[in-house]
Amino acid sequence: MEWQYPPEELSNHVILCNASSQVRRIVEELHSPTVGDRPDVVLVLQDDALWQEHPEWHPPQEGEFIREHFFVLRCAGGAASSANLRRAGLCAARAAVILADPRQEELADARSTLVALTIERIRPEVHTVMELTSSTNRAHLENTDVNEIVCVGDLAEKLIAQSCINPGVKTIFANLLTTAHGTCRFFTSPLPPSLWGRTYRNLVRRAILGRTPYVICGFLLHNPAPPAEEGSCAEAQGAAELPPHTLVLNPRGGWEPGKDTALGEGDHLVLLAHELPDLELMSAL
Amino acid sequence: MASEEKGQHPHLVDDLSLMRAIAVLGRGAGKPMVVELRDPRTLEEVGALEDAGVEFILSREYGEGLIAQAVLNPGVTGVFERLLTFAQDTSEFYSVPAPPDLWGKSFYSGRLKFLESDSEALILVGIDRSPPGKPHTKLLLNPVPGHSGVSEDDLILREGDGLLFIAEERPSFALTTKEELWSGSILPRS
Repeated sequence: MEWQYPPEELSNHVILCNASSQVRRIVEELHSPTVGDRPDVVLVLQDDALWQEHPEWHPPQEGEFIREHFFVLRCAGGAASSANLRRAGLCAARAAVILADPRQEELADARSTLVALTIERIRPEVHTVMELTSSTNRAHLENTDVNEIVCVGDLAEKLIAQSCINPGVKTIFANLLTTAHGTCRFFTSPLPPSLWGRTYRNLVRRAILGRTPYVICGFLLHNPAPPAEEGSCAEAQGAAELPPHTLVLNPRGGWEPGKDTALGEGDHLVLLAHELPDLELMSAL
Repeated sequence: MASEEKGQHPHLVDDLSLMRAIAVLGRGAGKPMVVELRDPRTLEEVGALEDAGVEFILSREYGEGLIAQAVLNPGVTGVFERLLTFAQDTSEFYSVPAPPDLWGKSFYSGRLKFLESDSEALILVGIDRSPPGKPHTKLLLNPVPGHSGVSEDDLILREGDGLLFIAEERPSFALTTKEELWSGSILPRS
């Protein structure tokens, strides 16, 4: 099937850089009916022939939503070209995902980093997720603006170790890592103004007493961010990424930051929920 | 762990992993065994080994899921990183028997009790009603009445229930026997 070329007016969409076997599942997850605000997805190909050779990498074509909201950009230079990234609508995108190029095998991380640097130069505010093939390269990315790094090998090692200590725990993670109906996910939701000034403990108590359909598991404390660099297209489109933050998962009592830390503007709650949590439910109590 | 030679087909990698798993199983069952797979089709062929207690992890699927989640919920990779790392200041999932003082009380009462307990950091996130020997197979994660067939009655804790926590270590109210410690299935931090 011929996938559509991305239209110019896309906004708040997700850009996938590089075709690989991961594309199908990621698009299916992003376009799952349980996702409240299903984004348009643009795939920037690094090699059209490779994409054509692997129809099993393509998202399921029978889905009408996918046919209308998944686009493929074929241009020489792939995602390392700033012109191609602009054509894919980077300046209006909510997130960019850099998948490891399967042609590069163990050297894929170098190419992925080049793409990440190009993205961050054009739009540092976009939320960038990068797939890493070797966890030893994680240190090289510490000084870049890549927001989230997913190393499949690293993940497998940790999951195997956890499963040895806690048999069956993979089921919990499998449940948390899918958007399938009936499963739970972690959400990071900004604290609404009506709840600013309340402590984590107070918020959890409100959530329990109000029988809200979520479990609060921690919070992200906002750290002030430096101003956007000149020449980027951030100011025109607004920031899409999560501001710099400190994650406090399972806060302790009597510690700072901990259960009695007051949360405010810019802070987020980490919640376990079946669907996008409505934090205003806690304000009503 | 799957050992992959350059360019080797994932199914072939899985064949080698399965042969090793069979060899280990032949030397004595009973110890936890986890096998990493590369090809999703292999999962359809491992029923006999699963019945013998071997767990299989298709690592690629977890990575794909995490990438999608990271797009939808910025910051979430940090949460998974903490939950999957066994370090001094991180938390993991623990399933332990519900204490008798909670039998007959609701899941919400349990959550409130552990919120107010400051001696250890615990968050009650679910109820585990799995049959013996098959942990986490019948799990109510964040049970919500009216959602996924969960009723109000399902939220009443009873004898034999497991409680699922996010905790820094195995909750202290859960008794640990010497046998459990020697078996290596419980890893105390201190």
